[in-house]
Amino acid sequence: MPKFRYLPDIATADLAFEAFGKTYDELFENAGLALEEAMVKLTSVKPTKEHTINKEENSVENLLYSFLEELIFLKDAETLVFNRIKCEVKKEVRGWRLEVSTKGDEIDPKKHKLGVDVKAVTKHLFEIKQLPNKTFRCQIILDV
Amino acid sequence: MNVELLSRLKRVDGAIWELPKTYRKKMRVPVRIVATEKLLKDMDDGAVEQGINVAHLPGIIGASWMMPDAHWGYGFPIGGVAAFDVKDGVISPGGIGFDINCGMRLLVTNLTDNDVRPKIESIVNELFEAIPTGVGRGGVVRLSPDELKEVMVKGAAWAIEKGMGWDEDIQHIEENGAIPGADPENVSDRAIKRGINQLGTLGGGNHYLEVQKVEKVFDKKVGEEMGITGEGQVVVMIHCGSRGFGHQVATDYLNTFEPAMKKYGIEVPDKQLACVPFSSPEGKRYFSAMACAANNAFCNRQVIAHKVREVFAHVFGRSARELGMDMVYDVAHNIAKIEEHPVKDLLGKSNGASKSQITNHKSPTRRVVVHRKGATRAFPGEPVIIGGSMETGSYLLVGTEGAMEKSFGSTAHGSGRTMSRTKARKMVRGKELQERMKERGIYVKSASYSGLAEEAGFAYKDIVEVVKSVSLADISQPVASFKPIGNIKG
Repeated sequence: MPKFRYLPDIATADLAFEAFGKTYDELFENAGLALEEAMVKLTSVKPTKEHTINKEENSVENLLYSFLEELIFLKDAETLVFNRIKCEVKKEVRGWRLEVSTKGDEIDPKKHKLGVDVKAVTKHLFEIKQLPNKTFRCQIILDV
Repeated sequence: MNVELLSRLKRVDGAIWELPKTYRKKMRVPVRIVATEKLLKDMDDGAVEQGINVAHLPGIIGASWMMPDAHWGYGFPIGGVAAFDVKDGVISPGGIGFDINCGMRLLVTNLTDNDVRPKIESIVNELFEAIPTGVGRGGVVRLSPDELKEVMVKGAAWAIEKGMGWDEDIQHIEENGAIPGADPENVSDRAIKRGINQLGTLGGGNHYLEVQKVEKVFDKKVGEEMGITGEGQVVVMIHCGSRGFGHQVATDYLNTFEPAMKKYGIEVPDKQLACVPFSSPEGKRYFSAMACAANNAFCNRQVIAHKVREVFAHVFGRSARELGMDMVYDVAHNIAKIEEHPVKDLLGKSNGASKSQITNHKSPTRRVVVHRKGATRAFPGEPVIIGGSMETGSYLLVGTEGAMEKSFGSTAHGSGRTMSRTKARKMVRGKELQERMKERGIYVKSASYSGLAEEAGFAYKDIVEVVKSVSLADISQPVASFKPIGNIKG
């Protein structure tokens, strides 16, 4: 099973991907990496800068959406891209909580192999599903 | 397009096709598609389905329009035009796009292809250094949050006041480079943080800055009025928008519109069409925030144009004034505007479907909110800039009375994608494409090889067919065509 895969036939002008994980933690990590890989070749990034993200939402879908949205925000606001992502997804009484620690670098076109500039996570065909083999799969379309 | 759908479309004009509002139960208006037969047949079903969805929205007037370059977008099709009554209608971020006021700017020079060719590599390399391109790149203009708020209100004029432009530039920008009603109070801190370092940057995706030569002049008189002197003249075309700032404004409001829709009892066939009444507090706040982002984009293109003038002046050792680097125009193609339109003529001669709606209306004009998403304003006599793919070339058109009568003063915006980015990347490698283009006399520099591959000419519709469509429909007429010589892209 791959960590993630870009889907060629879903969105003409945008960028669609699916990501997998045995747990929500792994699913979130792989979805985060798929988003980062769209923006920068992960192997060209040296993980020198650390960053943490904390989010709370009422559903696991909203939690994933808001995590990916935060990564896009950090790409512009702090010019940070990440190739190490560690996620902890917790179900709580009143909703869902996410704690993330990431490592990456400030964008530098001289060092990094850059990809597309992602504008937003869309909710079109956005889904998280558990497959018959118990693996979680998410499908995301990015506006680029 | 599938055969069933195609069979339901009736030709109402040379290149205008109509899907009647009886096609689906809750459609309020018909869908009208501007296309040659070829582009109509090739149009993707998903986009047409979106055009149909738009026809369901409350307060929509006349028709849900699709331009010949239409393709699937978020909510509305890209290449979609829809006008809503200011009192009874809605405003929808999906009808504008994430990149608020993505648009085109065209500058002329008094240089010819012969003057520029020998220096094209220096020009492109210097442009690439002066104008940050690609993912998350910060700009050369450092702003404080208060200064960014000034940009939101003043738009292009802010840059000109700071010496980045000529006074007369402002007269050659849609809305004079600032849409009224922009209140920075309606913009989140998050949007400010995301956009504060990005003024004067091109961004990525399909954004580019291109040095082009005039290939053919179709209308000498109008061309001369706009500054086009003849074939071989060198021009510069800029395609970009409001960057992370605008993307965040769109994201913020999309998230608040979904719950607000419930409050107003609005039902939409697709949740991406999230919308609220234009006259509601939420609608007014979004329109104001959208204006902030739009003005930021006008200013962004102004700063970039200033850098272009500086680079040319440096390379040729003459001032930008001496090089005749005047602005032709700057147009938005992702925007909502409040405009007056002559409603009685909107549906043209052969339409019966919505006649009652029209004859019931006493006023000859109506105040409407026109959503143009991947569509350009085409007011009579005004320049329309249509950007093609970086391999195939671009067009300057002029708006017509026909556009006012038919399509809310709107026309196409580009070639329109037909192939996904992932597929295009599998067809060609960026480096290979760069070399191939160089052999054909187009020197390209990109922040991303994969991004370059995604923008290959074969991933787009034929721009000649797009221009033919809008010309046949008489919603704009060609003035000149351009071929690229040099290009920088994100």
